[in-house]
Amino acid sequence: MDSKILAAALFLPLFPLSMLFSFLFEGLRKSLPRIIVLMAWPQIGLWLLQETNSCPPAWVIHLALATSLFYGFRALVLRELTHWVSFLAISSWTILWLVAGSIDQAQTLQLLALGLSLPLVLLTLLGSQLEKQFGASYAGLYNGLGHAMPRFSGVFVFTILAIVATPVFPGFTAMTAAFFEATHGSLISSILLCLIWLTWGWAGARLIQGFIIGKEDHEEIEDISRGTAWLYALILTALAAFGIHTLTLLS
Amino acid sequence: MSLTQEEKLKVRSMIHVAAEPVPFFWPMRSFIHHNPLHGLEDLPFDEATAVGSKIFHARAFLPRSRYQDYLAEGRIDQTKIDSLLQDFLKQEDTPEGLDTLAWCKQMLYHEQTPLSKSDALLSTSQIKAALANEALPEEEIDIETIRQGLHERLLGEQPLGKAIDDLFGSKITEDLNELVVKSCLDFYDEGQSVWKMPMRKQGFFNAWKNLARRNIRFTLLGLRFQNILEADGTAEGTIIHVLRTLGVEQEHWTGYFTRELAQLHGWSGFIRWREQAEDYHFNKTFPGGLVDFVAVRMTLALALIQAHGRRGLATSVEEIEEMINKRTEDAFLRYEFHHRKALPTMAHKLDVAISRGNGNLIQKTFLEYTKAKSASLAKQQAKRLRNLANSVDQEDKLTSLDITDLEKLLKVLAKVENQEGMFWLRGMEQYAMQQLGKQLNLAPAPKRDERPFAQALFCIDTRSERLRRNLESIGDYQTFGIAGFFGVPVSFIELGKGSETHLCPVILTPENVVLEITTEALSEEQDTLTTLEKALHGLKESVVSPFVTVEAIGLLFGLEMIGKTLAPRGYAKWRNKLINSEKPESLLLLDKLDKEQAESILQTVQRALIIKGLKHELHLAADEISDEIVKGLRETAMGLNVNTSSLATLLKIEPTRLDALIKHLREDYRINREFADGQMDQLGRIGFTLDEQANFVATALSAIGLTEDFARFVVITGHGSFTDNNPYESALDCGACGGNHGLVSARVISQMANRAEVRARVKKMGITIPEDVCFIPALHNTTTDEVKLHDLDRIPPSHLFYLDWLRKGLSGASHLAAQERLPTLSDTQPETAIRAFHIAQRNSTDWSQVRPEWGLSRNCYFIIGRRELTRHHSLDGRSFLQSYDYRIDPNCRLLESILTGPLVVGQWINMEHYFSTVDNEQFGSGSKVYHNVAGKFGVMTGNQSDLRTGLPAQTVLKNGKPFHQPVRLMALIEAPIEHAQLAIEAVASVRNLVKNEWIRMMVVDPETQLIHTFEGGNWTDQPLPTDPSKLAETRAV
Repeated sequence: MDSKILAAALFLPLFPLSMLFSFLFEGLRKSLPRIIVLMAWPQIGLWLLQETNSCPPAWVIHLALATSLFYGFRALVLRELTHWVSFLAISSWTILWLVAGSIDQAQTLQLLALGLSLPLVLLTLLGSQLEKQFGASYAGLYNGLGHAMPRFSGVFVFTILAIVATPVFPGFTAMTAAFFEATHGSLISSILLCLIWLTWGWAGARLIQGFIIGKEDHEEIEDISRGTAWLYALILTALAAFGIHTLTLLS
Repeated sequence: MSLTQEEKLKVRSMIHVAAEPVPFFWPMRSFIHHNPLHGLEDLPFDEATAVGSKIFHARAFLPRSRYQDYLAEGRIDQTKIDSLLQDFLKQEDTPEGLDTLAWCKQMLYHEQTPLSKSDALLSTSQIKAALANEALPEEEIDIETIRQGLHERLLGEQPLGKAIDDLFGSKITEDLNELVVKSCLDFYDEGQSVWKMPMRKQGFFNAWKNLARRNIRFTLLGLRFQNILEADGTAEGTIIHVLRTLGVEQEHWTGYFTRELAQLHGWSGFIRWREQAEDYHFNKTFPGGLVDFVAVRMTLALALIQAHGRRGLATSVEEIEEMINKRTEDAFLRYEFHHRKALPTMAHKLDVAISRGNGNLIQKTFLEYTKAKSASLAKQQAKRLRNLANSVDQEDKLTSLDITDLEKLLKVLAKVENQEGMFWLRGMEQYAMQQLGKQLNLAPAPKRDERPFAQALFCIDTRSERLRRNLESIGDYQTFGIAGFFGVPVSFIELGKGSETHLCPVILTPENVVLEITTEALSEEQDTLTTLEKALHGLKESVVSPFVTVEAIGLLFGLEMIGKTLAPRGYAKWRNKLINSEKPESLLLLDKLDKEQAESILQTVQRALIIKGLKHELHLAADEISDEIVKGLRETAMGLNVNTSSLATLLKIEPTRLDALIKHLREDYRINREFADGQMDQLGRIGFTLDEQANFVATALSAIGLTEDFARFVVITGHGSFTDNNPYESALDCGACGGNHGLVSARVISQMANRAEVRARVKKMGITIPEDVCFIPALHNTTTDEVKLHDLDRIPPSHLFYLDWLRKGLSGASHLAAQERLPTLSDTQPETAIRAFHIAQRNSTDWSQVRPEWGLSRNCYFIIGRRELTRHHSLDGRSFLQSYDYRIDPNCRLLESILTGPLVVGQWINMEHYFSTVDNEQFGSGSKVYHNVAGKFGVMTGNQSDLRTGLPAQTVLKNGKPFHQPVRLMALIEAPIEHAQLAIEAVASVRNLVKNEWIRMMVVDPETQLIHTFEGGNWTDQPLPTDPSKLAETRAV
């Protein structure tokens, strides 16, 4: 196997190399290094992939789909936010293996990767907010934040929606591009993509249920400030605009 | 397994005892305000709230921060709390050298987060080390204490499903509740669903059992009922089988049932009420009591537990007990994790250890976790203590405390926090009492030279206070307060309806029936509209038809939607004009029927039925049916005439056909001797004798002190609410009329009082009602504050000149009351009274309005005395006002009846509001926005939940904070203390409510000018407080 493909398989993490990313990311204690990794990791992968100057072999695409589905499925039972981010990162970045086949322009591909990473960065920041408040960001341990932290909850829900490739967000563009590519391939690839999308949505809904829904039973806690909420909203709006822009690039 | 009668009875009685703390829930068609802790009223208030909180997993007081808000707003008497704290601390062992009172005050008044945490892992020596910023000492974990704690929380009366959930993170309780609710919805439905549950007449358990064996959903969930249901066919036997299978010890059965019932206390309360309502149609037709309910629940619980057991979870109490005893560390970690008590930083580690189930890992995680948690708790506690000490400037003293004193301090602070709810409540009540005391005026009413223009009797309801005050302010009106059924318990049969509605407080059962009849013929148009309406509902509720209906007639509904949304007031007016929804003029059949009259009525009804039968069976036209035929058929059907040959000739039918017709009339049209006897008994209940009528009128007038100086008009005002799209509409109606509109009761007493024969008898009782006095019934629409006069065709012509004046007075008062009330609803102050009135009218017809009015929110006082007592002060619609003059009640009988009925109903209303405010999710019914009507008798949150029993958030909260100020009802009697005490002692139920402090009783003695208050088991007295502004006002006058 081409060593560059192998290297790319580490940065657009394919199983079992994905375990390295997962191990590294979950080992980081601070938000800043996590954010840097989230932003840079897929970009390195794409750069390596482009350096190969050839389309990845079919078995790599199949492995990418299998990896994505595996991590999406595993995310269903995860309750710790950092783990969840790590698994969703792997699950969504592996989609780029398919997308790389349908998008020729390197710049568009990099923008799309950025669009996939940014919501994960936002969620990491939100997670650090929870860690500050509660000591850990763990779903189901202190649910009912919808009542106690309405601004935080609003931002949290939209961030999750962005991660699970809801229309207009860049993830949706990536998924659409992957579908275009898959339709040229096999029916199984399309079905796998559908399943991957389903697991993302499901995992996202479980996370929202674990944090936001439920009876408020904790002591007085501090919500994010109005200004911070607006900032998040602005970034999410920009992400949506960015998603629409990348969608037009596809067509 | 077959049970003896004795064993069955034992289970039944256990269930009924277990259900006592669960309050009744009446169908929402006639919403009854009730105390959610009614079953615990034999306990003192503070004890009952502690027990109730545990049973219903609810809060009995507001969070501290809310009370602090009240304190900042000056609505709490801080000196009262200070003195309560001082008294409390005198009995406690407090640390030497510390100003513990200052600590307690600081903690209550300024700290928002509770300080004390009861946790087995919290150690005083670690707190002490943390306070001194030293390394925390390593302490050996007392495994026995942890084991004991787990025993208490998971065994005994705790439902096994809940214990399994707590240890394994399963959702047995959630699934069980969902399945039970679904089963209840199927069985108890009162006409909402189109497809009915089969075999309902055999009872809940039998019908459910029959269906459970064939229910695909149950099969898909892996629930197996075969063995459970075959163990014993009866409900009681099944319950015993389940409890024995689960291994619940018999001594815990009653408590176990209580916990199970409390899981769905709305449904349990409804079934409990339904079971004792012997005349309730649905109960008679489809019997299903608490025993059936428990049997269904227990069967489902066992099936669910066994289904989870097949996946490796515990299935019996023994297994749980063994786990706690032998694998305490594992059980503890599981409990901490699944009960959401885990230290967040270690939650993931706990998750991993529990999932792997490795003994060594669990042991290691347990040690690490307990160490981390106890350190975390100690540091947190130390930080809070230090902050507190800092605030009272005693930080040095805190750090120098030895272990014993630190323990004492922590113990005292924990006790104060445990009782703080009562401290705050007493502080709030003290303030409210003082405010009321300042407004009291014990001076006798000034002598009048001429009679007032009009007198108006209003319900004691708090919403009448504003209207009364405004009416008194704009003209020569006198108003009186009396329970809205005006002392006449009536079972009412409305025009065109066959069922009886009880118009009296639910604690009474009316003996007499009042029938509404009309002189007008019921229009065919009305029938057509009703049929059309039913057809539309049918289309909407069946499975397939909605798809077609939307296409076909959806546009019509669309127009209605636009009208109701954009211009609700105008649309409602137009719609009413279009369908002429006004009821025809009617009369009330009030007089007792003699035997001859009753027989005549019965014969008339039977004749009408025979004519109907002949039209239907023989297709005869009306003019072909002679009186002779009808008479002959009636007598034959009743067995009075055996010669049928002439009848056959008259009807021109064969004798066999005639026999079949008569059989039809007997069986289907119920023209038979047995049914006629029953109807004669029913007719015997209609109306009142003249003596009864006179007695009711005289009692009502005496009770309010209206025995002389009658005005020309005496307006008897019932009240009701008119709102749209509001399942809680009847909660806004008259509680004294059993949650119905009060107009009928007003018409009944007016009709009685207007009769010359009645007045003659009343005169003999010492009350002379002049001939020109006219009693007019009226209805106060509490949503708009409009007062509409009724039965005006009965007013003597001589009075018509004054009628317009009366109307103007009433409408002026309505507008002013609406103007006063509106700002609390919409945060805007309408510029004019008429504008406010129009907004209120819009609220009444707006189907999207979740808060058309505040109802009885903010109720606080119950004043029993003369109007003069508070006439010159605004009580802000917060007081029930019962008119009473002790001078005309020397033997206390009138006061006793006021305490027995109106005061008790007032207490139910007050407690409903109290608990719905302090914990709206558990005792209230949450937000109205998510409510859906269930089975036509209740509401649920979302598509499936427990029946929501209390008041919705929109009735008691505003912007998420309490609008209703939760205090106990403060009853004030204006009478000499001995007089009041005599009456209180004579009514056992009220005596207990007062002694247990469910009601805060005050007596203001006009003869000594002292105000007596019952608190802590004793009466205390003090001089009436004086308000400087009131003195200034009096001087100015």
